[in-house]
Amino acid sequence: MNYLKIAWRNSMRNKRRTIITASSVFFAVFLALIMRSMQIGSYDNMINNIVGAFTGNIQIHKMGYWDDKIIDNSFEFTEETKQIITSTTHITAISPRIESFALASHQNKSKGIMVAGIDPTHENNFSKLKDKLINGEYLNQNDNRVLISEGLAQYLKVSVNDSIILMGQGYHGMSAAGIYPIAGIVKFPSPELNKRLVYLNLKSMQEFTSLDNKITSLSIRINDDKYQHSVINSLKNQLPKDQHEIMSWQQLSPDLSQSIEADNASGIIMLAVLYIIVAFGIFGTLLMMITERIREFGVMMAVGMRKSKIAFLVFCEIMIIGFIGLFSGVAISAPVILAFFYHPYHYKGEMAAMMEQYGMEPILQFAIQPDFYINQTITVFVIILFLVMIPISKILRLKTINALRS
Amino acid sequence: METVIKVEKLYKIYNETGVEVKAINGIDLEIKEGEFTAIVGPSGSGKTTLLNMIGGLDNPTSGIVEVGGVLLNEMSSSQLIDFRKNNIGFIFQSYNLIPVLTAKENVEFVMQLQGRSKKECSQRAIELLEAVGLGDRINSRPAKLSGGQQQRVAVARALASNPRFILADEPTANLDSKSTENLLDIMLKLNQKEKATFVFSSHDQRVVNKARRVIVVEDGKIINDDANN
Ligand SMILES: Nc1ncnc2c1ncn2[C@@H]1O[C@H](COP(=O)(O)OP(=O)(O)O)[C@@H](O)[C@H]1O
Ligand SMILES: [Mg+2]
Repeated sequence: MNYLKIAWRNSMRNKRRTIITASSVFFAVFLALIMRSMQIGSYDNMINNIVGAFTGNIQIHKMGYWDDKIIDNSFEFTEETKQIITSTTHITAISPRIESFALASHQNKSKGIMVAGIDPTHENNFSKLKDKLINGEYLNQNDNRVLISEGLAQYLKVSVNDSIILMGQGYHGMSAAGIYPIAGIVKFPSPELNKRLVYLNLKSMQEFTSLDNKITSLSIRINDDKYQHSVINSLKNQLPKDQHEIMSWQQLSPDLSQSIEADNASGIIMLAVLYIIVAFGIFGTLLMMITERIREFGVMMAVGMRKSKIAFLVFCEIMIIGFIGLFSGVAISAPVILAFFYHPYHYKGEMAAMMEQYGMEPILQFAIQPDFYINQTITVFVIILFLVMIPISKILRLKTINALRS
Repeated sequence: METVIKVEKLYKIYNETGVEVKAINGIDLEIKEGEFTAIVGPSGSGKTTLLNMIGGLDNPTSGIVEVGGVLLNEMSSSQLIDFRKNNIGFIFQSYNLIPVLTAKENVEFVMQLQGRSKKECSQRAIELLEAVGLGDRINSRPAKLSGGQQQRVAVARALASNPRFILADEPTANLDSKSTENLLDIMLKLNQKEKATFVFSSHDQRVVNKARRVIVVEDGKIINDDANN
């Protein structure tokens, strides 16, 4: 008679308790995986909507630009600089831009907006801007037209081929003004970007601001955000000292970065609370399971079974129950996570409006992260191992005579 | 016949609630190999306590317990477990069996603890279950057996490990008179066949009549012993 067989029969003996215990484990694993996958997915999505769509993982400016975002704080994007940057590893795309603020108006509507002068080819490699086009056409290399974000187009009540007037400030305080036909309308998932962005051809922007050959920022995409620090260091070493500021997206979008950090921390606390609640539940059932079988253990000891063997038997029993919960949790959460990963849910109605108000894309996006998946499974397993110690130590301390009397 | 159980100046005093209870109050006793002995006395007279100490389940407050030439007083609890495994078969009043094992598996269980081969365990288990009249119930779990049948499985299990001693604490207390008689006949038969020394307790006169030797205890003392008459 091997132990696993006896253990299996014992765990099937009180089916209700086995189901309750296994479901506690199941819910811990399932909820943890779903919850975290949802959270991490939403962070990935938020980061992607800002970093991928506009900011980039890293930006290079002239020293002092970030504190004083005026056109004068611009720098010449030389062939040499370009060479250095494109040859740095992990960098996948760059977009040289002039970013500035302006007043956009059409007929009697006007709004303060952000204008970005872009190189159409570079920008498309960088942010797939062409894919965001919902109306009209993309800018060609020498275009004098503009792309306007969907929210702004709605606000100004303009459509493709209408013209908008831009007024702003140019180099050395010169006033800048121009009238630009709309080539296309682009839609951004980030409500923040969607309501106030106008893209000009870099050349038109240089004319508009009287900045020849200079740019205010160079946005950089890298293949994985985890290389951010090494790329920044490498750039710092290669670029001329003290002329540029090199900033991470966390510095560029501190609000986003902080809200993710805060949300992540609260997610981890929730996870801990979940685990504690589940652990207490399991602890209770294990204690009950041991207590009502003390006499049985006493008989086993009386007929010559060592306590260590009884403890091992009970260990096997609890592991069987634990693994049932663990595996079903992993198995059942996997398809849910995969489904939402490949087919994110788009919120509708009030919920969508509310999320947009908070600057979020109204979407439920899950993340697939094998390391996270494995970590959570191991964590729950360790909790079970820890809980098993309690009945085991109780068994090891049993005295035959007392066990028989109970 | 050789003396195989020797108890000298045995005392067991409980003092758990502050009130001293002398469960065993100075017992001297010798039992010879192959005897079929009943310990009789009213409830609370100390039968269970005495049997537990002979079986190495409990230790005395003072005195000597020697079983099969071994002094139990000086053994550690894990030594006692191994001693019981190889030398003593227990039959308790009730709930003797492991509920998730069939009758046959319950009997095999103790032999497997001894490390005997699968084939040997299986053969002997069937043999013993047939001897106690349960040849047709070997694959039943305890819950599917009557109280009398369960006790017969317990007898088979107690004998399975080929112990020199069988200790039975009121094995018939929960049985009707027919099952009681049946069980005792089986025990008597196996006492001869297996050559084990049987000591059992009871407060039932019908049970006592079957015994070869009757020891009467009261208040933790022996007040009468056939062997001395
Ligand atoms: N663990 C214990 N603590 C205190 N008193 C006990 C304990 N076990 C038994 N006793 C007492 O010892 C005496 C003998 O008990 P026991 O050996 O069980 O008698 P019997 O088996 O003859 O009914 C009784 O008075 C009982 O109350
Ligand atoms: Mg008793």
